[in-house]
Amino acid sequence: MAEQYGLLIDNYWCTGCHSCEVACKNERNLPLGQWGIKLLELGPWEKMEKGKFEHKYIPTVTSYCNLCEDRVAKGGVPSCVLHCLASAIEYGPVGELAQKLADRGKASSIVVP
Amino acid sequence: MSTFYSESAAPQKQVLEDGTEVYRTCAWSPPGCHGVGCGLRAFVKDGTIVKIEGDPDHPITKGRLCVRCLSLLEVQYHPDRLLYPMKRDPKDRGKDKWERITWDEAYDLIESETGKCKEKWGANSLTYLSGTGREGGRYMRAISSRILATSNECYTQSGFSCMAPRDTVCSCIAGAGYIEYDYANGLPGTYDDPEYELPKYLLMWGRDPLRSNPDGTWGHSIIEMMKRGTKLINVDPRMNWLSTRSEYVMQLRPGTDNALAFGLLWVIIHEDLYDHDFVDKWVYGFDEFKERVDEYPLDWAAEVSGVPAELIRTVAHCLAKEKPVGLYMGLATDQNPNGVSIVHNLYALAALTGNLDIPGGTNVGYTITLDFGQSKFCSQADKLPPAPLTQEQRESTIGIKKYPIYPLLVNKAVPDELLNTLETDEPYPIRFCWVGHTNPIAPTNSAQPNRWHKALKKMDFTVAADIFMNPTHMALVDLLLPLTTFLEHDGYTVPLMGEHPGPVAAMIKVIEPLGECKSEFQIAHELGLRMQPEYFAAPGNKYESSEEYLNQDLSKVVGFDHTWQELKEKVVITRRPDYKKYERGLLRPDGEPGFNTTTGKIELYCLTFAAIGGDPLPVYEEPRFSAYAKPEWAEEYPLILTTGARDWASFHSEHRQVATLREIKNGPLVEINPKTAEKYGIRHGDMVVLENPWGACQMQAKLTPIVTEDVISADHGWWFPEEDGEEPNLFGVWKANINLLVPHNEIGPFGFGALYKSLPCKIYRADN
Repeated sequence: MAEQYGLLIDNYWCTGCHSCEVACKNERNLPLGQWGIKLLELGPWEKMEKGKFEHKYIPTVTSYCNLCEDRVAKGGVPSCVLHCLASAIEYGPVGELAQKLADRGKASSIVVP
Repeated sequence: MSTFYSESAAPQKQVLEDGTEVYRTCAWSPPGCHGVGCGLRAFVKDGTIVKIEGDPDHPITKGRLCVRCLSLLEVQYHPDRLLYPMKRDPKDRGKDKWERITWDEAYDLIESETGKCKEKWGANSLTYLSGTGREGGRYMRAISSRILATSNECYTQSGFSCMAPRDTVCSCIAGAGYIEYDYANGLPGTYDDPEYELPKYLLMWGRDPLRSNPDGTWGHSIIEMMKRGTKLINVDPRMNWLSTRSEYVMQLRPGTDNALAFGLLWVIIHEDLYDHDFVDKWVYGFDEFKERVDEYPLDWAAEVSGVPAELIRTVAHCLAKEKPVGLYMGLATDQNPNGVSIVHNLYALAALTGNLDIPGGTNVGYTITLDFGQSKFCSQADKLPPAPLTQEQRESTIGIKKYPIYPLLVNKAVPDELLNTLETDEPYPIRFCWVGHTNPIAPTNSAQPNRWHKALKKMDFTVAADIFMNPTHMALVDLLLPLTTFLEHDGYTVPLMGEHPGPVAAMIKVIEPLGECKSEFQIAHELGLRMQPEYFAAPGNKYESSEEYLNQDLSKVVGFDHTWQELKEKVVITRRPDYKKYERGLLRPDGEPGFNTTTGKIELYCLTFAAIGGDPLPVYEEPRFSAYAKPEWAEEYPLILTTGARDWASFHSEHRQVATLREIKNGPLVEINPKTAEKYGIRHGDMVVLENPWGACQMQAKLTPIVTEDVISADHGWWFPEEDGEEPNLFGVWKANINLLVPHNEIGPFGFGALYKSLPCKIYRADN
């Protein structure tokens, strides 16, 4: 069975810039109202510790995402990975990404279409 | 200073197997942007751009792009793009009755109308109005003073509240250019370069660079630095995303920046935490400065700013003890009548903590090298056509007698005084207007845009040039000229208008202009040859050709020894930084160590301010209409309105035509704390009225705890290209026009700084 690939998202450093969404729309030629990757927002709210806030952006992929198989086949990286302003998205085999996530140890997610 | 470029980068042009041409270039404007020069690859098939992607070979942006460049083709090929010169009978202003004409007819009209205006109303009865940050700024002085031959060029923001207050201080107290945090953009290894030292802390003051990328700095560099360990101190009334990732957040009451700055300085001086060695060698007037700071003790600062005294003390210790620290000042320091004094104090903070011009600290800039208007900020080395202005014209520039710092520094008309002149015809009438790269009736720049709207109706003739028709054009313009985008003409970007090191980036023409669009250079070149041929036809003058212009301009960039052709071939050539320029004789024309001031030092007791009759030392000014300054208004207007927070999906009033960007942000929002909203019966998404003594407008409520209960933060720049453009609707420009609530002529003592970020306000549901 072929190895499963995915995206490792650093939700601590994702700044919510939406570049992944538009880069993906361009790559997949998606119309308005359709997304291959969509930025969700967690918070902001003030935590019980006064002055500390919960605020994260959570990009997640949809069924349109094929992890940019054409780009990757030509030796490139997925378009969202290339254009992400905070360089908060990595592409790779899920096993490797899981190890990286474990090493980082916080505020990250792996998404698979 | 020296330069370098990548040997391994892809060539400027490649051809793919299917014949698609791939061009590397760098972004500026139009459409609007601050000119970071982010690297792009444009894929061109049969003369049409079919795809835009980031350029992985750009040394700083490395392929990353924001949503505005990612949706650039929607601008480039938008059905509403202006493609041909159009005129309209002045009696049809406000109506969609445009007639396509040729460029020759357009130039004929400009020539005859300027001639008639000068004859009827006087030599200086013309004005050129400009916007902010765009490439058109390069060419405005050619059109205003060298072609129209008027000295009344004007940036219409009340109090010139963008960059001028900051550059004024940098120029007056240190004789040098702008100061900016060092993000290693001039080093081959960037953040990991051995010559660089990662800042321990960044002091970010009134700026959200992730969205704004101001004046050519790459905002997301701070994410790179924070990932490597830099800690952030964020000074902002909003608990924005960066604040949630900051070590220290100083959530001050809007507009009280200088109280907080005094508090920090008071601790650093009184607890003897400052860099004595630096002060002894490089600071003039420290004793007088210290005496002034004594007047503003810590407890006072805490009470006024709302930032706890212990936090101020902790941050002061951190700034003084940790090194290096980068200072990153934002527009909030300018948009305040107290602005010059705020920046004076922030400069002092960088100096007294010994962080000036060290790796990872706060770089001292060279003077501006872009031809932004032959001001003191600009060097003068190029062979510009002379401005055919009489001494009488120069002396009659609107507002300069009242504010003598303007001719010394920015060399333009004073915006608030210009509006007075337009309204009253005093001291003389103005009847011809050129609207360059701006939209002054949209809520983006001018205070009281309704008054600008009314006053500009008095013009005999108004010209504008742009890529889209905007409300100002529909309301007021008689001749509308179509501009090329940055994919259709040549140019370049350089950080902070040439003041700072980093990438010099070629903005390269990728395709032929659509329709009959021309670049602002081309318009200046052609109109100059017609109207001032003795200057513009002279061999070797800067406006002889685009290449001549760019070569002469690049020759002024300090330490940059490359021609336009070389830059175009390499796409990006980086200037290395020069650290500790004041020790190495790099800041003074005589080559001696020190700063280029009378005393050779940073003059914290500012002799220039004293010489023009100002206070040589910083002061605190309470926001003029706050509950403390004007308690009689406090009951009626209990909230503090702040405006101008930036968004990913637009550059000020631009980009509203782009469907993909409207999907990200569809309309204007006002941020309200949920508790405040509850008090006024406002729910998330309700349409609310914002009202104060100067005006009112409506926006949708966004309930969020990032603003405190007494503060609301309103979007700027909104109009609606999809709506009826004709008067009185004007693409809906008055609906969410937050600048209606910004007072005219409430500006600082030098004529700099206005109240865009600290105003009294009340809110209520629109259906009440």
